[in-house]
Amino acid sequence: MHQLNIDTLRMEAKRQLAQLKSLLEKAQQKGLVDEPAADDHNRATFDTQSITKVLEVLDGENYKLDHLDMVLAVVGTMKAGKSTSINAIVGAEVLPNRNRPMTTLPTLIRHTPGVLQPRLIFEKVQPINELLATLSQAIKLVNQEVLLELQNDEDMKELLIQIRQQTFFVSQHEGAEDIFRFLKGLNDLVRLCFTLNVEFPFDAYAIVEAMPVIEVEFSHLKDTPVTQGRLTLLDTPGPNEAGQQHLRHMLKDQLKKASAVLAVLDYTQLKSDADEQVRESLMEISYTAKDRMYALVNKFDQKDRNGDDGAAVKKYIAQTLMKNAMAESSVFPVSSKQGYLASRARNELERNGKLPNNECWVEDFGKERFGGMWVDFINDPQMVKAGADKLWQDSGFSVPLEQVIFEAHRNAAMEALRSAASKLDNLAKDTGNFFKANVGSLKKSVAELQKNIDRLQQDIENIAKIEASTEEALEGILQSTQIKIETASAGIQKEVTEKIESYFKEGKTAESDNHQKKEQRKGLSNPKEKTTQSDGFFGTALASFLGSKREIKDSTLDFDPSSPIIKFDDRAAAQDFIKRIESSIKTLMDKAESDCNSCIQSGIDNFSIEFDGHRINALESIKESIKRNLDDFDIIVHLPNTESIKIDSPVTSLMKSAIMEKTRTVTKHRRQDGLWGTICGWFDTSDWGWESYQGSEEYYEVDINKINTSSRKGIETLFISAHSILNKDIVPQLQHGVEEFFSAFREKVENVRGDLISGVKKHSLDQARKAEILATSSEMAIEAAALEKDCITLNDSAETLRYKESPSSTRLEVQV
Amino acid sequence: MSNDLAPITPNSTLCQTLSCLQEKFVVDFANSIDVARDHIRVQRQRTGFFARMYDGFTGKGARRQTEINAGLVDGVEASLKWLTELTESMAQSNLAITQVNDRVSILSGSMVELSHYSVDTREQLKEMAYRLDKRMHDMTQEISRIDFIQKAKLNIDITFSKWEAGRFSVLSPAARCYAAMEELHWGSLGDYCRCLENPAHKRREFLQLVIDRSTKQLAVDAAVELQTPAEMATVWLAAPSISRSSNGIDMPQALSWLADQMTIDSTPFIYSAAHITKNLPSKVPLIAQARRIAEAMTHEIFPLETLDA
Repeated sequence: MHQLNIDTLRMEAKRQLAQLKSLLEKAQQKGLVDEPAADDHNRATFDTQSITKVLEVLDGENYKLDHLDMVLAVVGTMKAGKSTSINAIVGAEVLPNRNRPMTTLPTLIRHTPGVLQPRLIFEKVQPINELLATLSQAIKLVNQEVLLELQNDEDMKELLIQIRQQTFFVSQHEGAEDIFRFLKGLNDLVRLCFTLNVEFPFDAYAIVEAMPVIEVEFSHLKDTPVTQGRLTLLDTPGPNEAGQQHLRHMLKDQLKKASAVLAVLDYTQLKSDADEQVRESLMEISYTAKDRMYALVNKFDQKDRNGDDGAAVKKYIAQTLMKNAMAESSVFPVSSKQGYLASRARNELERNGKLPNNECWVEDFGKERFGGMWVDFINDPQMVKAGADKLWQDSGFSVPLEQVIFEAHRNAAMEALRSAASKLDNLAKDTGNFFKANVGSLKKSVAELQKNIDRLQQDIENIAKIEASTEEALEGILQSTQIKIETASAGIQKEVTEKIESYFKEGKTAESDNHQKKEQRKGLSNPKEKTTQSDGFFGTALASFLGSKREIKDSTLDFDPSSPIIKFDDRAAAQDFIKRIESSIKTLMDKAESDCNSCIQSGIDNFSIEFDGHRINALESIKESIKRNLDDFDIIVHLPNTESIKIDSPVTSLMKSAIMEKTRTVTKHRRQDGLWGTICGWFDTSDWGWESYQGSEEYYEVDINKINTSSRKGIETLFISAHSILNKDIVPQLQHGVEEFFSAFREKVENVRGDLISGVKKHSLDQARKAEILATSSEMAIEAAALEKDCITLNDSAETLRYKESPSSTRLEVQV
Repeated sequence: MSNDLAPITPNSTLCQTLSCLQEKFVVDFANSIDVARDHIRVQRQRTGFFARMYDGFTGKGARRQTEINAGLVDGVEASLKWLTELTESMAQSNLAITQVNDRVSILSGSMVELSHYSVDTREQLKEMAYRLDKRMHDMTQEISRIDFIQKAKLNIDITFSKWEAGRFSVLSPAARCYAAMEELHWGSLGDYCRCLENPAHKRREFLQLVIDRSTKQLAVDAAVELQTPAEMATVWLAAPSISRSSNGIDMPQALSWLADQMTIDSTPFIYSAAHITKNLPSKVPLIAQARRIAEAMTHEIFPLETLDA
């Protein structure tokens, strides 16, 4: 079969852009484009003002097709070796590899050919410079102890001096050392903000354009032609690093947009929890970025003889850790340190013919490659070259680098293509309509035109009516979904209460049995003597809810059937009891969560159907009317988009993050496996209902009230989360979709009307001029119609290609 | 190169396959008669293919050798005789006759100013003009008669069955489509569609039929599904590896000659299908569905304006 390739589509997009541009410019030259109408609602499809903007858009798309912007997002913790990995990719030390988090703000590292010495550009220094003033005030109010502590910290001392002297941060920093000092300063600044409880202006840095950019030539890319695109690494703050919480949403968005995502994991920490949050954030984006996600498993060189080999590590990560959200072939065991040293050495050799004398990385390189005898070899360029090449090979870096960049390039090309194709599609339709309207209005009388203009006004009003009814429908669905969620909430609350109640009864029965036995025994033997026994009778009684026979100790306290406290003599028994409740509640809550999900999902689905109906209705009524009103005009008003509104994340994932956000505010305990881990995590905490008492005798208490409160809190969190995603995430997206659709639709019809209004004006021209305009417009209408078809083909092909290339992932987005 | 190839005779396979060749030949023949210089312009560089047809049609097989020494020997008088004969025997279409007629009018005009032509020659030209005029009149009548529709239909059927039977198979899919278009253009369909007396809806209907049948055949030939866009360069314009048979070289050459009046700007699809170009014309998409090509070619041959006029 004939396979279309992306380069052909790219060239075709460029051709179409050029064609459309020349058509519009010709229209301008031939005087077909009028001045903008005084009233905004009467504006033609193109006027002298809007056409300039359209031409700019076309140029912009063309530029993007020529200069692909590839953003490779790098995620991972400082400890996993993210900075070293970045340095390895660049082939120089651009990020300081110190033993503490350095990335406070997301930082861009951009391949800039010819820039050998890295330079950092941070245009937006004003917000942090203003912060210096705020901090200087805050320091005056802080108590002496804190201040002293700060002054004992070497880094802070420096910053404090800076604040005192109000030495402003500057926008440009040359060289690794300078960059390091700046980033360190920024990092200290954020830390100080936290200590002094001053807000850091994270919001000011939430857009890519505001982030600091380090420009440097990536040694591996220096021979790549510019047309291959511009590679930029996006260094993201690790999960626990400062600022991350504030920038979380932005980062998620960036990861979604990134041409590829590279996660740096630590081989030595794989099975521990250290990287868990990185994995979690990867899982979160995996549904949008599955085909663009790669993992470097760093420190693979530290593997001992018994460690897993490369294949096993790949498998383990892809299947077990990432639960198949990543392909095995996208996992690469590497040594970033080796990669960095090798690539820097090669870079240095190529530039200077030898390694520098007194830089510590050279020693690291020498020792890594030549061991203790490194000094003997380090001055021999040939040995060094061979050594660096070998080390580069051993580091395992070249394969992932090639693949990730290839992938990033392809994705960037795809993104640029899609953007151009969809803009072309729309603009070509507008252009077609514009010329058709020009032709049509010259063939019609002024009176006829006026009639059409009036009728189109009615259409515009009709659209408004349909929009209002669509909004009403959305409101209705929102309400009914809310009611469903509340009903579900009450239901689960009841079920949980009943469940706990029944456990309570069970627990009490056992306690009471236990108590009675002990009373009996007291009567039989010395009451003050402590007995340890394994009585069959007692055992059986407890086994009824513990599931196993256990050793029970005596309790000296009295049995109180109404007390919410259930007493156990045995730690294991108490724990078991709790575990059983926990698992029951977890089951209930899992179900509740999935109920919530489906409530919301079905709300969305219902709305989508409803909305589609309204849209078709709108289009049909307008189409009819346009056909009636604009006969002989041959204008087709296209639906702005026929796709349904989609939510940009699956509901389940939205729920997950909403719940996480809510629970993070109530507990510092990390999530366990599964959604309800967070809440169930409380079961392990001391506030969750059980404690031991040490006295003359040991006994254990389980407080059912505390369990109840905790569960209630958990359920509340669940439903608050559900309401909040419904109100904050889902509904705004749907509303936005509706709004966008109708305003685009209205604007189209308004523009057609505007075209006719300017057609009326053309009737006042003399015959010869009219004939000329008619001839030109007719010719251009034919050209535009042909281009329109080509644009549709291109747009479809781009979508097909994208779909074909990543069948495993469906990227959902709000498309209007 | 082309002149090294054999003359093309009216009963050659090529002329049987592309019946439009002889129509076009007659017109070109008429247009190459240069009264002022008293010769017929048959220049090898410019119209190599025409020269071969000229040799084949006028029986001047040995022309090549003699011409080298003698230069262009054919005089106007002899040429006019030939033209009369050729027109009678070969020009079937109104299109060809109209164009020959136009040329003859010009020739007559020029000849008035020139003294060296004999009375006979002048008479000959007059006679020819008269006959052409009569034929044109008769044909116009015929074309607007209802039964001419049958002829147009037949023209379509014959053309597409040739295509379907693989008789254009040495060409690229797009060029096959163009070959079919020329057969229709010079055939009865062309005459029908150009006749403004005929109902516009009927003419549109015919052209739609042409588009549909071309679309289908293009897709079949390229083994591309109807809705699937394919690359222009590697699919639609990709000629099969040229066979050693003379047809493998002659037919593309014939096509290029048929398209010698086509410009890159006004008929970009035909231009790219008929001529070998390094880059595609900017108006031709790099990818297209079969229908897009069929539509574009049909409208390049039968411009929409002629339908709307």
